[in-house]
Amino acid sequence: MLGEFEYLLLTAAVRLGEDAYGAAIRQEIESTTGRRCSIGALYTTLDRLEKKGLLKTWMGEATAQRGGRAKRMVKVTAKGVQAATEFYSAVTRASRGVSWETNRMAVQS
Amino acid sequence: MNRICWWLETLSRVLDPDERAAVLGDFAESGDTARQALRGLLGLILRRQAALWKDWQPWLALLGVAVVIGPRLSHMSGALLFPIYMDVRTYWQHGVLYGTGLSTREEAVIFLCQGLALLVWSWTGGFAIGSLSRRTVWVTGPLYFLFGLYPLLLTLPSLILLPLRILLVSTDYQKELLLLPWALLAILQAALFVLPAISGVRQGVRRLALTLPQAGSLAAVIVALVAAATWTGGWQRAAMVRWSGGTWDPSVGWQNRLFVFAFVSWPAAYLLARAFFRRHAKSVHA
Repeated sequence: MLGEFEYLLLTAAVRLGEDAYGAAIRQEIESTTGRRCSIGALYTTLDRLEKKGLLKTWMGEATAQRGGRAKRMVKVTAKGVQAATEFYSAVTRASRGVSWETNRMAVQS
Repeated sequence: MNRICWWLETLSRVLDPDERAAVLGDFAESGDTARQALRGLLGLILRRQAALWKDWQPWLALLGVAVVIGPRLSHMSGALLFPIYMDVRTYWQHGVLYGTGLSTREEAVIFLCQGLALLVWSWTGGFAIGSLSRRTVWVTGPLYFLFGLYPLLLTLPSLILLPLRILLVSTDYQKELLLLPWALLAILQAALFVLPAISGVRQGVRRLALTLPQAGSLAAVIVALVAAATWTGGWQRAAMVRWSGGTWDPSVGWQNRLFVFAFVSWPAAYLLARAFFRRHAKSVHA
């Protein structure tokens, strides 16, 4: 099963869609979690997920904003979507009935 | 951070070119400070390097060559050059050569055989390090050189302080100047070991492997040099035995010499085996 950070990375990549690349994913994770995302953790996790076949990466176009340097583009594969879905289902099942889940649902309703 | 500091660019050269471009571009785009970028880059480099050490090749280069063979070769070069040092020092002090019991011709043959063997062993060990640990060579390479240089490093502080000692402390400057031949020999020792080792490492990183004919030729040369070094190593022993009338035999037997020389030759066997299996794999896939 996926790890926590792997799930965050896949989720951010799916949310960003065609604009998913290293810096954007990092910014998305930081804004979602409120925690700093280490570039070392990001790129090593990208490699690990790519080896598992959960996403694909390739070098995109360079931009002037990046000093003429290319981006590492990311696209989640069908296997990656399935893995993230399984992780989400597992977390949801595990959270049923616990205090922070019932509190959250009460706040929402 | 809009502009990449030159030291970040330099440090990032450890990464693969694509990853380097992606990471530096991310830093340029992000709002990270230089300090945050440095921490992030160091973290990535450490993770990448740690991943490399999960394989066996860097460990073989480190423990099998740098740590084990390096000191052995350094010790051998010291033993080879010690008679020269004694000759220079004795002549400097007393005007006569140090008596080793060997003729000049014998001393020249010993120096040639064992000196050549040392050059080839140093180069082969360096090549093995370069080909085994290409991406971790910045760790294994310097360690290999360090073990070859340690006699010179030990001498260096005394050499640097020598002018001060002569001027301020010593009452016998000639005694102090005896350090100079030792320093020169330490430099020569570094040249016999370190220069071929550096060349070997560079070739190993660039080429990764020798072809089968090249590896075979190298192995044949090393076998011949091991035999020559073992044989000539016994001449000094014989001279000592003659000089002492059979009562003093300080040197090791030929079996021990052969074992040591064969041991430091294992990188050549590795390169030969690797070339053989590469050729075999190519012919299977063809």
